[in-house]
Amino acid sequence: MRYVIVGNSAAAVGCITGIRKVDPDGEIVVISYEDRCYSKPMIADVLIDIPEEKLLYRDSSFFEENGVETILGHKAVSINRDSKVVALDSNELVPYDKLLIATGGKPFVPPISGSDKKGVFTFTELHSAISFKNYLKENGAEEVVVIGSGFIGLEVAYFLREIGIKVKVVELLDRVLARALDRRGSEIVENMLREKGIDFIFNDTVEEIMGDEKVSSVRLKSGSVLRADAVVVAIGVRPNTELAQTAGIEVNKGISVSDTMETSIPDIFAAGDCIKCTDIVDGQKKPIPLFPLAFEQGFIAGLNMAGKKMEYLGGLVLNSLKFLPVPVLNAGVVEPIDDSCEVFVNDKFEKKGFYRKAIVRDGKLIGFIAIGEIDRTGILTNLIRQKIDVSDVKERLVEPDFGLVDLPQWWREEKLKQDKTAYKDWRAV
Amino acid sequence: MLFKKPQVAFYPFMVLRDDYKCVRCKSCVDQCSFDATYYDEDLNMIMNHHENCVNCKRCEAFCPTDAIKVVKNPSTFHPDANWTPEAIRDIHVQMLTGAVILTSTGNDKPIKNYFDHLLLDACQVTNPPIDPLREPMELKTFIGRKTDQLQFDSDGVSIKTTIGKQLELEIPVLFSAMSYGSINLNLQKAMAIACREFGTYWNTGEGGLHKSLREFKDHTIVQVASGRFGVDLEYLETSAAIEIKIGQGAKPGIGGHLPGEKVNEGIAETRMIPVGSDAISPAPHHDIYSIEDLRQLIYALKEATNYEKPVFVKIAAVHNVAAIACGIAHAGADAIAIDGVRGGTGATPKSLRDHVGIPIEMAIAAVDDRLRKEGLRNEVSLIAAGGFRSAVDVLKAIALGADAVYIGTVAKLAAGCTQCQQCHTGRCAWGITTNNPKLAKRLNPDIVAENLYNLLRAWAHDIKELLGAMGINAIESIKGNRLRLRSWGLTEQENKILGVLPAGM
Amino acid sequence: MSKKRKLMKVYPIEENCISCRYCEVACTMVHSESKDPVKAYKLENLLPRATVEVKEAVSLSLMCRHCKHPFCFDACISGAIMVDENGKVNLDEEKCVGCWNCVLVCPFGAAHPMIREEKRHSFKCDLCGDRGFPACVEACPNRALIYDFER
Repeated sequence: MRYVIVGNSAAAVGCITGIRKVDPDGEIVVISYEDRCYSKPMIADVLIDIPEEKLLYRDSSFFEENGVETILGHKAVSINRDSKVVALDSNELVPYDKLLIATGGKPFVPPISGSDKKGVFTFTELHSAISFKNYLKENGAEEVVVIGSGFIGLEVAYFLREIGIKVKVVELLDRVLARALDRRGSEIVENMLREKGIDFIFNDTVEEIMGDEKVSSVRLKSGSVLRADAVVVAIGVRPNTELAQTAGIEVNKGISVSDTMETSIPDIFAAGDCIKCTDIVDGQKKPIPLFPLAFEQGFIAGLNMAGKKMEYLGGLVLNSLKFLPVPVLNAGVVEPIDDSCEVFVNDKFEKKGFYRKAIVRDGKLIGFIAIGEIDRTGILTNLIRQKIDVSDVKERLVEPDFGLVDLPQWWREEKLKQDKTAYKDWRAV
Repeated sequence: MLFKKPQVAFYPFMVLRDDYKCVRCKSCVDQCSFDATYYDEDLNMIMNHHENCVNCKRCEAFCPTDAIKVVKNPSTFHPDANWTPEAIRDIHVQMLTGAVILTSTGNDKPIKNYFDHLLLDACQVTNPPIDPLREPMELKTFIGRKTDQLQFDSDGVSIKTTIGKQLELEIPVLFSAMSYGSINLNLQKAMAIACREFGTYWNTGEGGLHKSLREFKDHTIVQVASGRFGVDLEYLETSAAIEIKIGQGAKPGIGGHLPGEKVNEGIAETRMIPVGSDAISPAPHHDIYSIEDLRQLIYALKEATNYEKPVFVKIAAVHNVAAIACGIAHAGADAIAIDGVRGGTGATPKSLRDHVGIPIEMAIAAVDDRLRKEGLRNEVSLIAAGGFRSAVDVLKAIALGADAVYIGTVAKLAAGCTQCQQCHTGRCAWGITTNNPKLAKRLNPDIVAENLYNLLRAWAHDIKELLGAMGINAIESIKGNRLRLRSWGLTEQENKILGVLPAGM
Repeated sequence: MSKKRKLMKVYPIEENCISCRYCEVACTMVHSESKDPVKAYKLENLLPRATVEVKEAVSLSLMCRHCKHPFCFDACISGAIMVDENGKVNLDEEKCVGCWNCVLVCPFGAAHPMIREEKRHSFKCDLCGDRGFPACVEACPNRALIYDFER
């Protein structure tokens, strides 16, 4: 059996791990246009000169120990589903028995005039992060405009302040992390970032990036012009489906996959930011481009590719703001999705430094926010995942000491005594 | 101390905490079942309500950094031999509550302990001592009606006499009656396991026998008391012996009262009463007003169980104990259990605990003498109870004339008890005299069974060493052998009652 | 494929747990430099990897379950969490960058955040690998923790 994996990040490593659980001997080939297996969520750390080895997600020994052949620095450009080969940009053909497409996401850049100028960067790849850093140094940049106040935008802004660069964040909506957090959460995060010295411009957007060859300023929709020695566009990512489309795989705002991570074409699987997965909370298929999900999907794809049938549990939104001194986590939804939702809030941020919020619908937890006190919040994540009835303890969900004693006794019996902690044991009850 | 009665400020104990050593693990907060310890989040400190502290020492024992010591409150009343702090506090309590003072465990007053005034003999030169590690040593004891004479078949060898059913003890020590309700099932289970492993008996007390303990039938003495809780034919049959409880050393002459709030489902089922109802044991058995009435009950129980179970009668040691014991022997009991003034309890008015009854040493001597005089000593076994602390106490009691000894407090101590005298509150922090599930789980029956087994084993070793020193190789040979006892510091009258010579004679 | 039962884990028995926190303090102590409980908490600012939970009569001590499918391993962005050949889940605190993903996904709440000025990383039960026998099990006075083969 010959397994080929296109991509070399979380989903790919997950897939290798999954395959090797079942098949210790099959050939595995990893194809990536990048030169190493680094951790995508950590690329912004490049700005503060994080040591190279810390960026590595898996070093070469991982691939050696798992008997993985790597083809690095070459891009897979097309797939021939009939002859079961992947064509590389070097014209080399790589045959496969089972293929995983783990091509990830690509940054979304809206049509802004001047966005092709030098000094405009996106932030999803290590090399773009490194060139950004070099550009800042070479040009002695003092002021940077960040477009978008999502996780990437804020993290870049934060680290830019760490290295003494002035930052203005331009956000179309009226608050930071508007898609990830509720208003109170945004407020807490915004205050922390303002204290750090980051400026925000809300309800506005960049209409034009100005400058000769290189960017020098941006003009906002409101008319004001901001100095910008560089611009970071961090509006979001979209599934990268180009390769999948060459094989005629069904794609609709993301690669469609079955519960076993198989695409519409036999023997071709897909996982990670390039696919649409089922959101456990609402049952909808949608891209949820998150590291933990990518790994898990890759792992499940790997098991199935190697012949062990396993159905994916489904994904859910899982966010963690890792750069702030105060941790910010959320999972599932953060605002009620309809009138039947109950909202529980425990806001002691000013007094005791924590904020918690939980959304309950039909007796089930469907989302939460935890800021400040985050210990043991995984228990809540699992309540969402397993759809356990929390009617009796719903007020307790927002207490920092919520624990397993609040869960039903049968759950503890099953998990602690019988040790039912295999993948299939975490399905909704 | 604001907004409290001033008298509350005169608390007897204090919790001292070395704040540097305190790591805020909050173990003490959770362990305290008397609301004497709490955590103040704003101060990030563990604080105390000293007035609630009962000196149970649970927090002290479970502080992982040894930061806690429970001490006597150094602030005390003016020294006064008559108006002791206890006397003053009792007045304060009664003037506030208008009620009798309830307490538990055994008498804590300095009533003379005669065991401490008795000394054992040892062999020197003229007859040699025995080394129990090298030579066989018999502690086996039989409880039940014996016979005065043996009759033989015509062959002159085979014994014709038959005797009633006996309890066979590997050590002359049994666990005394502690009911399910006053203690929890975990301690009962621990005692039952230890008895099965070692070869002795435990006693259900008056609260019935929980179905989960029926497997220990052959090591169980079931009690029939004035409330008749949990008594039916199956109960009587699920036993090695039946004990009729007339009285108890800690509260002679009064009944018992298990408050309704303590009657949970398990207790209700076992006692055969509704959940939440008061379990009241009347002071008398309402069908016993004479020795003849007692005889009727003894024989009713024997009849019901096909004469297969020895029937014991337990009484408190009171002034006329010798005469009463004779009556009980005449009434047909197979064993008499006598509980002395130091006997413990799960709840009793303090005035009764401390001032009613007589010491067990006197009672043993008086009863043994009287039974011998009446020619009844072989008709009935004598089990002594009430405050036995060690193997030496046991051996001295047997030398005075007892067949075996009941221990209750010792079993509780082996389960962790620190004698804080709060059994009656149902809040025992050691999980012994409580059925609060959070507290009761603190007593792991497997661990305590091992502890009890160890204790019995240790006592057996002790007794064998003492017997060996006396040159005796069977417990039977020391029974009632008061010549091997001497007293010190007792009056002539006391020596006469105990039937022992003073040291030097 | 018959799996050899090689991994030994700590199993809590809630019926026996008396919430005394011996497991917590023992854990903190043996993971300290000083091996002294007071110094471990007060000078080294350590926290226990076992968590005692109490709700009325129910109490238990909870530490990393070394899940057969560890979500923390899936979610770890730095490669600090690795699973060894026996299924033991290891967390390399030096490698950890403190992204808190493991905290967010652990169904048992057994991966904890250490958030201090000088250090930010997750930490969790390592089964006292260096010690050979879990300290919590040794310290438990009521047999509420047992060290047993994976079930």
